[in-house]
Amino acid sequence: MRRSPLQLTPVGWAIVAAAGVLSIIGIASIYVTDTHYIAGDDGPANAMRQVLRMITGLGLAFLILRVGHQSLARYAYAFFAVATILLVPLLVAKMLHTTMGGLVRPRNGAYRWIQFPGVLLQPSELIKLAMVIALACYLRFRANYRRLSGLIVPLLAASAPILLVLLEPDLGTALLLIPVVFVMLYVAGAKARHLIVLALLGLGLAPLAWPHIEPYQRLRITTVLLQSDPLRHDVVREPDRFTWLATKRQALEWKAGAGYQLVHSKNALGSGGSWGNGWGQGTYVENPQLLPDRHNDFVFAMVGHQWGFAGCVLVISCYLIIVIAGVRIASQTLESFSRLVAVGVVTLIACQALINMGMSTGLLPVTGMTLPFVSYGGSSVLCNFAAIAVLISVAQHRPYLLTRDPLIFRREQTELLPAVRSEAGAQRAPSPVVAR
Amino acid sequence: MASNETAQFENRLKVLLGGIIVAALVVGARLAQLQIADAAYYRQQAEQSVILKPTPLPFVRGSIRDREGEILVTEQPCWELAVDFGVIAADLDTRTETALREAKRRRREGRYAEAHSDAELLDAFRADISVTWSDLTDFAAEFAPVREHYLRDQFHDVYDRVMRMRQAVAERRGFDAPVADESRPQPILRGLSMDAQITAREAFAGYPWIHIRPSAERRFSDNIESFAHILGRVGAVDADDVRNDPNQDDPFAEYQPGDRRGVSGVESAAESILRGRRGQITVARDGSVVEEIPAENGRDAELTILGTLQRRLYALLGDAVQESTESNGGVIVVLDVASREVLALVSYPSYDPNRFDELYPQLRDDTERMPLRFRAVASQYPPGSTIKPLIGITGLMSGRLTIDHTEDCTGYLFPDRHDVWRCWEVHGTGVRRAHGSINLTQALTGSCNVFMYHLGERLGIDRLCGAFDMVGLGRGSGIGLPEDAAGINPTPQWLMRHKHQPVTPGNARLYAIGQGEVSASPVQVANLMATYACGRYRPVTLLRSSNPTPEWTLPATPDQWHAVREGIYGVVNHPEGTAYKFAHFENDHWALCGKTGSATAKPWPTAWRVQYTSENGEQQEVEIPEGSKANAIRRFEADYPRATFDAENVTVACRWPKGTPPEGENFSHAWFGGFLQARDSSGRPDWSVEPTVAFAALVEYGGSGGQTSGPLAKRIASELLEILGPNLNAHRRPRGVNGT
Repeated sequence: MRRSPLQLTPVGWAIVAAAGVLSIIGIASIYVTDTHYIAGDDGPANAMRQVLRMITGLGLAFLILRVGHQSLARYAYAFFAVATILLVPLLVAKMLHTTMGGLVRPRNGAYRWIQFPGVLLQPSELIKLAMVIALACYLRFRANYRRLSGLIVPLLAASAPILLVLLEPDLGTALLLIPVVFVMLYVAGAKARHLIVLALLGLGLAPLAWPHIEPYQRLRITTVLLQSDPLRHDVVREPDRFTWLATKRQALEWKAGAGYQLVHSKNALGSGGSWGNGWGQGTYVENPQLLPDRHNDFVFAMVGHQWGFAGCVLVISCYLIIVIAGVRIASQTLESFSRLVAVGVVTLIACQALINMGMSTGLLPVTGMTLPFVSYGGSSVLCNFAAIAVLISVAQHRPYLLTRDPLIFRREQTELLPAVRSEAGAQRAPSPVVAR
Repeated sequence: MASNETAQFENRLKVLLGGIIVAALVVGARLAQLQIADAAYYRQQAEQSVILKPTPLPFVRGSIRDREGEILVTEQPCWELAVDFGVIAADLDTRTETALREAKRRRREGRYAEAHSDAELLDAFRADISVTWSDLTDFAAEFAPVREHYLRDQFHDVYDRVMRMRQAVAERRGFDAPVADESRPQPILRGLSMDAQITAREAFAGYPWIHIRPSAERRFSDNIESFAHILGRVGAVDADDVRNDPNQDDPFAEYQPGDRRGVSGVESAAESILRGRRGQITVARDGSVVEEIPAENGRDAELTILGTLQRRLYALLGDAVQESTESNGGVIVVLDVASREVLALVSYPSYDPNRFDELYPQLRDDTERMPLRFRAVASQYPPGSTIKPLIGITGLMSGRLTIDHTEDCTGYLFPDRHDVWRCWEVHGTGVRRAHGSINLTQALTGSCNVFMYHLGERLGIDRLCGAFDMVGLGRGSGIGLPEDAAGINPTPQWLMRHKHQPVTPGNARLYAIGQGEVSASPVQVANLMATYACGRYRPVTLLRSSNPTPEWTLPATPDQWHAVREGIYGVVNHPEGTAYKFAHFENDHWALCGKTGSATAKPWPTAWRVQYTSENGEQQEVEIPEGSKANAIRRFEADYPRATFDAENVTVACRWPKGTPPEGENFSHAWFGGFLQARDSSGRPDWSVEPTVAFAALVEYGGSGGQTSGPLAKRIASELLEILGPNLNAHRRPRGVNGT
């Protein structure tokens, strides 16, 4: 059973509405940053560009709804391979300190962007969705991930792009992909204690990586701790005891140096108060130099500054609507690829939003992570629109007849089987629900 | 099974949903904390953030004064011509990224509207810059007395410095990013006068990348040549200074790109005194001062040197050096005996530090006179016979020598070998006059080598080196200047490490007459004299504010010192004395006591020949006028970056003195070190009174110590009496009482 792209289910409409509200909030905020901009930075037409990208994103979403997410499954691995391979030139460029003839665009020491004619592409955005689809595709017919050894293949396959992204360096995206992989394995049915053991092992080994990550990344993590005034004073007083954390100098200059963005992000949010300064109003609106990246990574601070706690709660609510709707879609779907894709997309969007809001409020280290639908950024907009298109597509293709308990209507079910097969596009084996 | 799986799936979805909701609640709670509970605090913080960036307030570097408070060098306001770094980068065609950023900035200002691609833009920008060059050179030719290629060199220097700085800052920060200097104009011509800056403002009005701005430079007082080496110079901080900055943790005191610091002499030694602390002013947008941290100016550094004495002795030394045929340089050091404060520290030749930039190539290439060499402190010479009293007192202290012990000097150590181990009065032609049977006092007066050969052998190398170590050889003079030479204490370990030779009895004999590897800077020799005068050793002091140096009394009895000092007295005042004819000093109250020294030395290299293979494979050679091989190689590498060469093929091209010494003789440095001893009513030296001043004089390649430096010592003695007054204590008066 399949609906036309214009005839959405109520859950579908809920998702569209929530994403729409977020996009409008985003465009409104970006428009405001355009009115006060620093000459020499990105020009004053960011809002317009964002609208155009959203229109492109809508087109992409229609396309995905039209072909259906099942067709994507056919190209899932190819997709994943292309997205992974796109990460390789970035790493090569970084190792050799070259731009490979203008192909790679380094920014602030990070090699994350590839310049195609007319398009600046960020492959680490692509890999997010590609990984969700590929993992769902891999897990759909298997049960061996219930053993510890069965987890090796999916984890190894996922670790390749994660390592590449980590080396770019883009710690944020890497840290986002890990929970997505774990959540998908978890809902797919992997044993909780296996996952917990692996997670604990990873957490236990993480300190070994500490001396090897880039110094600025280390500083970003310690910056969260240095928010605390007493700790900072301790570092200044006894620098020898805190060499692992920060130098005395870094503590002294924290406010103007490593902690600058965090200080101003919190100031912008906090000074919004309960109801905010109003659209286009407020100190941080009028002074573009105070908060760098306020139209992309730190757009949440601008939302809180203009619309206060109420605005922030609205944003969080929109994400919760998407999450709840996504979970509902997943639970109502019996076909395992669709289920896993739905869960993956939900986790992806929820984790991005939580990490971004966490870093703006000083709960998490600052990483280059966009706020889905709100932040300025081409690759991010397209990727998120495609992601919810996949989610809605799952809802559109839901085999309603199978929603009743399959054990009771065993006979009717077997009769339905061919129909289900063709619908699901699953050629090699029937869906696990039907099989037993 | 299926229902189990579905149930498990449902359960796990619930766990996921629950987890996300909990995380959302945590974020919500944090937002409530920020936006509701602490809203007032953050509102205040936001208001305060709308403050213009804090502006640093500069401090004024301290002056350097002499003992009487006269200013020797001070900070003087002037103007400087600075060029934007992006333009420098574009002109040198080195860093396209920086140049392009600069060009784009210009485009935003409305220039180069016709350029579309980056390449066109860069070309237009470069064409624009090239016009600047002729104007810059014309201006420099008229108003700033600089040498050829100076501007071009400055461009390269500035570029290299900023790039090294970027590297150092990247190490400190932990990541590489443009440093502030890259977006700042860089000074190219400094010290512009009022007239020059007005002309420059008119001439460069059309070039937005040239800035004329106020600055400060070190201004030396008039008649300052004699102080040039001591005062030293300031220069821009470089990457090493940033790395090794002692004030790294104080953002107001640390070195920042563009700062100046002392690089040599007292400017460097007294950096912590002279350097101040930046201030900072923060102004809100309405113009009100939010915070002002006043700058702390640097304090003045006060030298222990008496300016008048220093200048008079410089003139004196200049005359003495010019009178001598082979000599091109000399040193006079005067010390206060009790405190070892340096009263005069004269190196000849010197230069006018106010014209340093202009004279530099000439000074650098003048390898015969080597005016840049800080001879008094940085050069080391064999001390020659001036070391003999130390050997004598060591012999007495060790018990290996008694006051009455005599040796028989026939002019030769070995009666059958007349070519080696001779006494000083024996020259090629044969024995002129042997010393005969003499004791220590007579040996010092006559400067007998044979006596010292015997004594040296008897003491052995370990005792000799112990004595050298006692007076600081190998450890420096303690003067605190970065140039301070350590001197050489040729212990057996030193010999093995540097000369790959074991010790022979010959070493001990040579060291006992102050020859061989043993070396001392003139300050160390002057300190030796002060030690002979009072029986105590302590490092010397150049800055008045420094703490007194630790003092160490030599464990000799008054009788032993009496024997040594009588010998020193005899050098000038006994007819047998080596300086009796040349330095006899007639004064009723003061006796000049001293020790001559004719320290044999090889001519030193003044130019090096480098054989190299040029870029296109041709064998060529070039002469580099430099004093040391290391400097010559460094300069060659800078001048011929593409040539390949072998350090073994770098040989001495020329030496100074140029000729060969007379048959059977050697070139030698002429030393005279001594002190002024009070006489009693009978005209004999009153050894119960401790002398006040001691000094050392050296005329490089001056020949015989008595003959060349003796008359100089006599003149130094009269200057000391004249300037310090009849009691020679004048310099010890506390300041303020002085002159009133």
